Amino acid sequence: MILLHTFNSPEALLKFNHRINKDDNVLFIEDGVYCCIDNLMEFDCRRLMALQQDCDLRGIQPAESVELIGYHDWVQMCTEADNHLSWY
Amino acid sequence: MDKLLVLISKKPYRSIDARENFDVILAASAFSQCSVLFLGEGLLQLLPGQQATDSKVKVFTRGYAALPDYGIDKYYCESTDMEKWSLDSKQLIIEPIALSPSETDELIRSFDKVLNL
Repeated sequence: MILLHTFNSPEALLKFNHRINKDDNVLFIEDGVYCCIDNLMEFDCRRLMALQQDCDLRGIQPAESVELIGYHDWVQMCTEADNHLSWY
Repeated sequence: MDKLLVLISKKPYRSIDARENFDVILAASAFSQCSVLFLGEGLLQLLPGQQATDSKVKVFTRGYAALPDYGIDKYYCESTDMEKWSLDSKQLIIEPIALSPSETDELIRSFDKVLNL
């Protein structure tokens, strides 16, 4: 069972990071990409990703532990995941 | 029929979203076997005694009491949220089943579709 969690803001991550299981995938989108530089990533997960376009727009350069992906990869992740949880 | 879990995670009156989301639950109940999980601030939608003194605002949350008529009779919340706001499930608009955090994780994973509103 793989869940894909998307977070679109640091606030959403603060409220719901305890929902992330270590086998789940996590993707930061929109303002959620600020989580990459805010030391908010105190959780274990399988893959940790951020949307490249949203990082570029905001001038964010994520740590090496964060995989940068594009919209096509995101679609791919959705089709592979058993469920997609959008936290906002 | 798909099993759908609707997550309610927003306070009721900050924007029109919560009210629109309630309509989504009603519509979804026509197409799937629907359950509702109140998470975090979403549980505050169930506070009893909500009254509108401003005529522009409608207390839509009373509608939750009608959900069993739409075939939705499973409601859940997290016991940690109940404790956080010192709530008694019997006093709420509907009485949700309080789950531990690990039970909540299992619940979320047991549905075909999960919609976070």
